[in-house]
Amino acid sequence: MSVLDLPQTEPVEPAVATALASSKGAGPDKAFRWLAVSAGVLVLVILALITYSTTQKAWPAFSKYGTDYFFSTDWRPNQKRFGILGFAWGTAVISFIGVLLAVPTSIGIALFATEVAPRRLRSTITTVMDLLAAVPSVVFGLVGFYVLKAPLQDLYRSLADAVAGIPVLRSIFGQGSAGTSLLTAGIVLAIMIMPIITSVSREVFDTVPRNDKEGALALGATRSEMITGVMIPHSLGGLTGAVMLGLGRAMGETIAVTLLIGASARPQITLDILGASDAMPSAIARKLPEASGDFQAALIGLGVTLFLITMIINISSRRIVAVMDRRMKGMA
Amino acid sequence: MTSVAPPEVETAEPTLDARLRVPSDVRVATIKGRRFARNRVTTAAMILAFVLAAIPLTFVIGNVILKGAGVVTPSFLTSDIPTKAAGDELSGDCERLRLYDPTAVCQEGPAPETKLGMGPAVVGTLITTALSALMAIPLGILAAIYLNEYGKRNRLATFIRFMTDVMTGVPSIVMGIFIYTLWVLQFGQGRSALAASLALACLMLPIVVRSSEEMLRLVPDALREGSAALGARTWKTTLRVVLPTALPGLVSGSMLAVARAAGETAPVLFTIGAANTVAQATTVSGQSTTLSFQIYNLITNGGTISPQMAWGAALTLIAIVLILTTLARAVSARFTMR
Repeated sequence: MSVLDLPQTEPVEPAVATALASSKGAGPDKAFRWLAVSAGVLVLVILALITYSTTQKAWPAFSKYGTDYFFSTDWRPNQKRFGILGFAWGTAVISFIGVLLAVPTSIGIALFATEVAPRRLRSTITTVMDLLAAVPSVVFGLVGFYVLKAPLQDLYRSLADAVAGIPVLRSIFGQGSAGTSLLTAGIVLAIMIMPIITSVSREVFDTVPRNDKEGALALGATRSEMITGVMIPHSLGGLTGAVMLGLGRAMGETIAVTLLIGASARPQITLDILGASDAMPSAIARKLPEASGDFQAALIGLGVTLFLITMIINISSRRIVAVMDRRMKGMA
Repeated sequence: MTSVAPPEVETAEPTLDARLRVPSDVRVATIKGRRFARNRVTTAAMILAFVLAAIPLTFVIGNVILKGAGVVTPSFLTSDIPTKAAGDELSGDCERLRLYDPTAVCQEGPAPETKLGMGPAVVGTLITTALSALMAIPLGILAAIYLNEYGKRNRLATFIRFMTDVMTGVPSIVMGIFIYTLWVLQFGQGRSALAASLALACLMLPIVVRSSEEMLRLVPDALREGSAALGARTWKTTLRVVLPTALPGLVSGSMLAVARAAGETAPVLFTIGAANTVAQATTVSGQSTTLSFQIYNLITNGGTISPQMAWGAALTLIAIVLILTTLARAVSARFTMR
């Protein structure tokens, strides 16, 4: 990256090391290096242990229920029926709502911060996003539960009444029984993933070459034309990565969702976003402390599934960002 | 590039907009009608987006301050948690209760003498967070030293860097399940403050590694080369030159990670157990509780004084988290100024 890369790179070191092997300081250096390497490897060990330990405890559920475990919505723990598809659906729907609402807002904020806002306002934007990221999940849940639940309930009821006669809308905004629902959880998720999407988008927009932007403006483009014509196409890959990162966060978000999704005992596949449902992490949070036997294994299995899905999303999003980053740096 | 911009520029890097604005007559002449309107609409949409993010922040923090302020007193922060706080039949001052929870069902009768308290949760939060920081920060900085001072661009370092990035995205509840399966179920160690801090440490570790590596990278290579030229080996250079130079950055990165851990609930759920008195919670190996965990419990268990208690705990928690975050930002702002 930098022109002045360090002199002690790999090829030089062996020769120097053997020459100085007996001299003072070689021992501590080796020890320190070993210490540092083990700390680095620890990250890999922890990830491997997470995979092993959780999968091992969830295995009874996987092997006993097989495909039914993943592809059934029949979740009746007291009858030893464990189908997690309903929870997966709940997670998918709220993450989708969250991303759908958060992405345009976050990209707007990022563009505002990089292109429009005066210097002084930029630090305010950073502060607001940092504070938003710092608010604990449980506090969002608290405010949602005690303050927003009641007014939302009225709002949802009137919304459901209003669309009662309209075929398609009726199935989406059908129930409106309580203030806690897929929609409520999705909206809170949107607020919670906004900071990460915004900060990654800002980094991505910062890589757009100044020349390209000025070129567009020099050709007479307005700022909005410059953004849609130069910045967005240039940043598309990076933005995809940012969105997926936000998606990963949304899927794993636990406590606020647990409090606001409505805690349905057996979530079904439905488009009714005003109805109660449940998500994978919420089900674990609610039941795992008291569960035992197959029920425990099934809940840990939910965790394993969630872990694997978020890992896949994270790995691919980091890949995309890394590849785009390299390509952009090559062009600049 | 021949620029039409005037020489008197306010900042080192004028915004594109500032330069676009200069030949104002030209702009008015060329950018007209629909294109101009669309430009305006786009700008307005961006401002709206920012407002959309600022509203929930103000709403959440405003609510917590308004409703928590009356509850948080020195005695609230140090007293034991009233054992009937959850799912109880306590009756209280109805009007006051409805202030906190509009749906509260109050019972008539004299207001009982209940001393609200969150002492154990405050103690537990401080202990678990400090323990996890003690584990994650040294290890994280060491790993960052490996990545930046030894491994650099080699295969192992690149792989570790990538997996650390991936690990920052692992849901916090998975860290809780991990410690629960390994520590509680496999090793049979029981739930404790230590178990909870292990889970929190797993959560903090990748954050500390990545932020520390960024900070180490900011240390100019000339310093390392100077030290090497004087005969110091890498370990000595790192400990005597690189780390002291990067210290403020390392501190601020670690504090952000600590702030994140202090507010987490999910990793604590299955690992910490329960405690109702300050004496119980003053422990490492025994069961304990945290503010976030208490808030969650109070909400899910209901009860008439629960809302008050929860708002008080939330204000305390937010104060802790925001103080840490602000301090971290102040430290890093100092660092970048130099």
